[in-house]
Parts: sequence; C-alpha cells; structure tokens
Amino acid sequence: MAAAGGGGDGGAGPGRALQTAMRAASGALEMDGAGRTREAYVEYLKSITLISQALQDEATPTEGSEGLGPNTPKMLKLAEQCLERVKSLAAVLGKSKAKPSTPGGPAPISRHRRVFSDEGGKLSPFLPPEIFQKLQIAEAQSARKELTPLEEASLQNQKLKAAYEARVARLNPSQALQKTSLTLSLQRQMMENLVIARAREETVSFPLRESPKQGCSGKWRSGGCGCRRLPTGEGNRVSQWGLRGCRVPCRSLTRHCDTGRRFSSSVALTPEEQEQRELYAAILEYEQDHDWPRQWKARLKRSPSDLSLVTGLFSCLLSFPEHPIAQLLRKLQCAVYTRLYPAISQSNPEAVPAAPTGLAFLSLDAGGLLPAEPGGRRLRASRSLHCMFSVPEHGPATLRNSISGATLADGGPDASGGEGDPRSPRESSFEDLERFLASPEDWPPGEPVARPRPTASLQEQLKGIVRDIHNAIGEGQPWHWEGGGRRGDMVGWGFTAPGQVSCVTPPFPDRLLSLTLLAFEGLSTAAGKDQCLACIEDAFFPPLWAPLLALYRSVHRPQEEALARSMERHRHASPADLGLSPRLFPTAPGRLAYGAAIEELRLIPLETCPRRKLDCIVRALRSICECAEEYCSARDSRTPTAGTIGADELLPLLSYAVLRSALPQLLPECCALEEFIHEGCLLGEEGYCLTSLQSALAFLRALP
Amino acid sequence: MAAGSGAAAAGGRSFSFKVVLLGEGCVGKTSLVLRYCENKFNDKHITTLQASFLTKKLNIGGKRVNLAIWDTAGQERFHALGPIYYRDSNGAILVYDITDEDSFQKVKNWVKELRKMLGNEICLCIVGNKIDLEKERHVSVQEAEMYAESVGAKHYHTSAKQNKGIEELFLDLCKRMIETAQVDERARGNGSSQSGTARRGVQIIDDEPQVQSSGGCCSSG
Repeated sequence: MAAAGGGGDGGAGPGRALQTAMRAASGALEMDGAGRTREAYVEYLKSITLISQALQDEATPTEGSEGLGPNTPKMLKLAEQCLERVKSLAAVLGKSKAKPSTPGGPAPISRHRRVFSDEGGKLSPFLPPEIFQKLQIAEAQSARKELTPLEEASLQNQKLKAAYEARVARLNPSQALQKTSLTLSLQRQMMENLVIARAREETVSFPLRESPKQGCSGKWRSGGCGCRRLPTGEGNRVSQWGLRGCRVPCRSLTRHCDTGRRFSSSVALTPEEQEQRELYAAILEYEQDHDWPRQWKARLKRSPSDLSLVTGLFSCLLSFPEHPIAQLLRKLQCAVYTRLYPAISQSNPEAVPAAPTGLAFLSLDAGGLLPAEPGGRRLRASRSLHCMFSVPEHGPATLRNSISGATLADGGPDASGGEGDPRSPRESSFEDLERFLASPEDWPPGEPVARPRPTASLQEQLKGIVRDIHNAIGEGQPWHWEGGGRRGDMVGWGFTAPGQVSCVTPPFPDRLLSLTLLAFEGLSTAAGKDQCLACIEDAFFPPLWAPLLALYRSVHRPQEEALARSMERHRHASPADLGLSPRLFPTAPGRLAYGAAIEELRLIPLETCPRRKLDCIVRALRSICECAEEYCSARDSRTPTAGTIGADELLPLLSYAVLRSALPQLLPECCALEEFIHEGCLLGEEGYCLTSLQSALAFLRALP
Repeated sequence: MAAGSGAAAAGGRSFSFKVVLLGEGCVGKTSLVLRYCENKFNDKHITTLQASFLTKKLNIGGKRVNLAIWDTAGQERFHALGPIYYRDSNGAILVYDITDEDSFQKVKNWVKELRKMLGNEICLCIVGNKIDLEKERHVSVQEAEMYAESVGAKHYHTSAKQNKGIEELFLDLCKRMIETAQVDERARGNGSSQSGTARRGVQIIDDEPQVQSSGGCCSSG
C-alpha cells in the first residue's frame, strides 16, 4: 500500500480543484457528445458547482486571504463554457421531455471509446444489452483487422474529427463558445486515442519480442480472420460458451494427459465442473496454436515470487480477446450487465443520478492526471463500457428478459432467498441498527415500523447481481471456510430489513479465478492467488462499476439525499462544531486543513475498481493521521505522542474531511465497496478505514 | 490473506482476532494500546493509522495469533456508531478511569449493548485504568470486580502511565479468544466447510509453519 500523499501538499487546493473541475467538465462533454443530454446537463452543473466551491474556498478569508489564485481566470472561463452548454441543453431538455429513448442501430464501433454518434438523440444512460451484443460482434471483427493500434487510432481520430465537424456545422452562430470547448475536447480526445494506441502497441509487441520466430500475435491475427477450426464462425463459438460449452476436438484432450490429472474423470460432474473442464480444454487448444502462454508459464516458473509477472501476464492475457479466459471475462461481465440493465432501467431513469454513469468514462482522464500505472491499466481504462462486452450471438436466456422489460423481477428462484425465515434475534438487532442508521429520521429507535419498501424488488435484484459478481470473479470465497451467510448480512446499510433473509451463498464456482489458476499453474501460491484476483478485479469491474453504482444509488437514494441535505446544512461547520479540538488544526491560516485527505476522498468516485477505491480510503485516513501529527507537533513539541491520535480524534476529523469533500455519493459507493471488499481485508486496516468512513457518513447524515 | 480450509492440523495454526476498544474520551484508551504496541517495539511498528487501528502478532503456546485492535470513538455523539465497529469482534476491551465514576457507568452501557448484539461469544475485558492515581479512586475495586463477574467479563487493573497490567490483559484475552474459537470449532464438529452456524469473524487459518520468535512480536499492518 502506497504511503499517504503526505500532509505537506495540502495547499495544492486550487490547482487540484481546477483539475477536478476539468475532469467533470470533460466527462460532461463526453456525455454531451454521446447524446446523453440529461446526464451531460447534470455533469456540467456539477463542474460549475465544483468550480464555484473551489473559488469560494480560495476566497474565504479564514482559509487565507491573499487574493485570488493564478487559476481563477481559467476556472471562470471553464465555468462560463459549462454554463453556456447548460443553457442550450436546458432548451433541448425542455423541448423533448418524456420522449422514450430509442437508440438507433449499432453505434459506430471501435475499441476506442471516443467515437460516438450523436445521431442517437436521447440515449438512456446505459445501453441496452442487445446493443452491446452488436457492438461486441463488430468489436470482434475490428479486432481481426490487420491494423496496428496506431493505425487504428488514426482511423478513429479521423472519425472523431468528422463527428466533430458535423457537430460544429450544426451549431448556431450564438454558440461560439461551445465551439471552443468542442475544439479543445477534440484535441484532447485525439491525443488520448494516440496514447492509448501507443500503450496497446506495446502490449501487442511484447510477445512478439519474446518470440521473434513464431510471432504469436501474427498468428492471432491470422487465426482470427479465418475461423478455420470452427466453421460456424466466431460468434457461434462464443455462444457455445453457455451452458453447453464449446466443442472440443478430441486431440487436445488426448494429447494433454494433464486434463485427466486435473479433473477426476470418473465422478459425475456438476455443471460448473463441466464448464470448467470445457474451458480448460479450450485453453489447451488455444495453447496449441499460440506460443505466448507457454512463455509466460516458463517465466512464472523461473521466478514464482515475482508478483509483477502476474500483472504482466494479465495485461497480456486480456490483450488477446480470443483467449478463453479473456472470453470468459467478457461473457461474465456481459451476464452481469444483462442483469443490471433491467434493474437500472426499472428504477425511474429520471431519478438515476447521472453523475456516476459518466465516471467509467472518466477513468482515462483520471489516469491521465494521476501517475500512470505499469502494465495494462491505461489500456484497460481506455475501453469504454460499450466495448468491453462479449455478448454471445444467441445470447443467454437472461438477455431476453432484459429486452422485453416485462420480466423485471428476474433473478431466479434463489434471488429472493426465501423470505420470511425467522432470524435470530441477534442478527435482527444488527439489522434494526442498520435501518436506524439508514434513516434515523423516519425510524426512531425502539419503534420498528414495517414500512412498505418500494424498492424491495430492486434490492432483490441487486442481491442477485452481487452474488453473480462473486460467482464470476471468485472473490474470497473458496478459501474462507465461513463463507455462508455473512456477506448477505452485510449487504449495505439499511439494506437488509428484518425478516428478509440474506442469500446463503453457495460454494462459489469462482470461475475466473479457478480457471486462471488452472491455466497457469505457477500462480497457485497464496500471494499469487491474491495478485491474480486483484488483476481479475481490475479487469472485471471498470465497465461495470458505473451501472452497478447507479443501482446502489437508486436503492440508497433516500439516505444519499438525506446526507446531501445534511452536508449542505453544515457546509460551513467549523471544526469546533464537530467537537474537534483546535489543537488538531493548523495554527497558521492559509491552507485548507486536511486538504490531502479531502483530495483522496474526492478520488474515490473516479476509480472504477473496488480495490483502488479502498486504497483511496486508506490513504485518506492515513493522511489525516499524518496531518494531525504535523499540526499537533507544530503546537507542542514537548510530548512526542501528543499528535498520536486515536479514534476519538480520527472519526470527527474524518467527518470533517468528508463534509469538506462535499460528496454525498460516497455513501452508495461505500455500500457497494462493503460488498466487494475481500473478507480477509474486513478485519484489517482496509476494513477499519471503510468502517470509519461509513461511520463518518452515518454521523454526518444524522447531524441535526 | 488466503488459506486453505480443512483439517485442523495441530501445528501451524494461526488465528485472526478482532478486538474492539471501547471507553469514554479521557480514560486513556489511546495510551493503553500505544503502551501495548510501543513498549517493546519502537514507533515504526505502529501502523500509519496511529492509535486508531493497531495490529500485533503473538505466539501463544505455538499458536500464532494476529490481533487487530480497533479503537472506537468514545464520545457520546458517536455512541450510535459503535455497533458498526464492534460487529464481528472476538473480543472487547472496555476501559474506564478509576477516578471517574461516570466512565464506569459508560462501560456498563457498552457491556449491555455488546451482549445484546454479539451474545456470549465475545470475550469481554473490563479494564480499570489509571491505577497510578489510586488515591483518587472513585470506583471501588470490589464493585468493579463483582460487576465484571456478573456479566461474564474479566476485570483488569492497568496503568498506562506506569505500564502495569497491560501485557497481561492482552495475553489473557488472547488465550480466552483462542479457547472460544476452539470450542466453537469443536461444536461445529471439526467441520470446516459447513458454515451456516460458523461463528462470524474468527478466521482460523492453517498454513505452513514458519519460524516464529516466541513471546509475541509486534508488526505493522
């Protein structure tokens, strides 16, 4: 875990504020470009808020009155541009209210996210699964092109430019300002496409360097265009990955006696084992035609303790879309999305908070501003929601549900979890508490009211989806013997109501993890497994987090709204109002106290993977501790432990930082995180930090 | 932390326990844990969350114990948030100041709440801190010990200032938690997989035995 950002850079407020605001604005521009008018509208407004907040903070005398910062004109300009767009979007929204969203045919396809048609009119925030299917098919085709990533990027940039020109042509002369922002955004997007392409090129050429004679990426390309083994075509092959699995030529099974050793062949197989076996066979088959997996295996064998190899392996693995593991990943993502979609469309789309939907797309922008990570991070971030999914051509059964929208309460017999089961009094007392914490204003303690829960079925759906995700990535479960029941109990605050039984988790097939461990034996050490899981999550979550969070937000909307109101009421609360001693604050005014922690908190929504979000939380708390120590020792250097704080100080300080971050959406974020944090982490520092953040949020919400 | 489930081999066992620290503002919780983790070992072993969250590794009779000590905010205004912290705890250390009758009353409230929420599975330690201020004692030894016994808790006297009784407190607590975990495991019939009735929060992990210095050593998280 990286060290905290340091208490010393708390003063970088205005610069960071500009970046944050620019990020929000670029997210808005992107939505705008994609025709997602309402979201864009909200996002523009949000960046205006950010800017005015930052400027206000800067100008507030208590925080230092040395006049205005150097970024002020830039920020004002940005706000002006945003406001301009808000005006014209408001006009559009006013005209075409309540027009159902009918996305036209497949949007222009690309592995680059930047090409969107703005012909689609009012797209709903999330694309229907069937659109993903089409995107995916085209995506698979584009993957087969003989273009290098850079060539591809240049092609995409041409399209981008054409789209831009079309947009500019349609602008009124009065919208000159918008033209400026469009121009800027085009330049930025084109630049980013090239950066992405460069990263991709590196990934592709990596295995080439490893085996100059037998270029596996060359093979991959030629293999892709012909579908030589399976005459029914690629799409069909993918579809066979469903319950029945794909046909496997016998030769791979016989040649690799390995298979027999790893699967006991005598006993009857469960469907999961069957699937596993078929996938493994497919991997073996793949490995016959491709050399790179063998090279990675050799490398893993040479240095089994080198965890960076695991990361490298994954970015390589995922850059070969035809590898069975990459295919399984996309298939599982798509399955989760297919379940998510009806749930997020069911909740009133007007009310789905628009902000988080854009965040997935912001990930690259965030990546551009934050230190780039090694490996395929950037590459993955570059893939948009629209591009990550591999929808089987003949789709899984659940796909049909989502199309009609009639079977909204899908989720199978297990989703409801047999409600009505009696719970032990102890467990329900926790749930009572959770409900109290969730909505203290309408549920006085000691007086449980059986309120109708309008979002009950949403909650059920969410539960099913959460279980699907755990199933898919195999997080934590198989090697924690206590698995069952616990997680269900923890599902978000105020989420499980008394009498509602959480799903007892079945033994998890943990398909992705176990398949990967099967395919690469060298990973099976404890540390290797953990790293492997981390990589799987890094790949699995980014395209799904935005819709997932949208669902969490609609389930927890009342709490989030209550928190937002309370944060607004107490926006100017002083440390003393929160019961904080002045000794924990800097003596000299002039910089935002605990600024580094506040910045870390603001980064949480920008990350798209639970693990990274959790890291932000840990860094935020550490930085609070560091700052407190620094401020205290500045006052009193006699006693060395004067600045060593415990929870008595940490929790109110964290509440202060959360209040200053002005991010009520941290509440649903935390609810989601609680679900996806590893159980091993729950006990440790990460768990403590998450618990503290949740407590701070609950505390702020309950402030009178 | 990954580990195989399965058979309970006698050697190489390791336990992970969560212990919450409860007590009113000025009773000396922070000093107590800092003493415990700082006394033998220097500052760098303290995690970067300072006294709020500390970990400690111990070896008790060949059993390795990972202790995670969760501090909670003691102020009244945060009282409602306590349960979020102590959920899934294996042990609780409830600290009062022997010179402050009120802080002892607070301990009683917490005991009630803990028993209500976590039942009898949680090992409770009631700790009268600041015995260096014996002259100013306002909570009688007898009363405190009787109360502790009546609620199935153990009572300890400590002085964070003079470093008295702290090591014993934690060692004793660990032994009790190990016992509880083992009883619990036996009750489940040595089984590892059927987790319906599994006690929450404990993690018993079997793994390869490692060379470990005995007598407990501290580590940062």
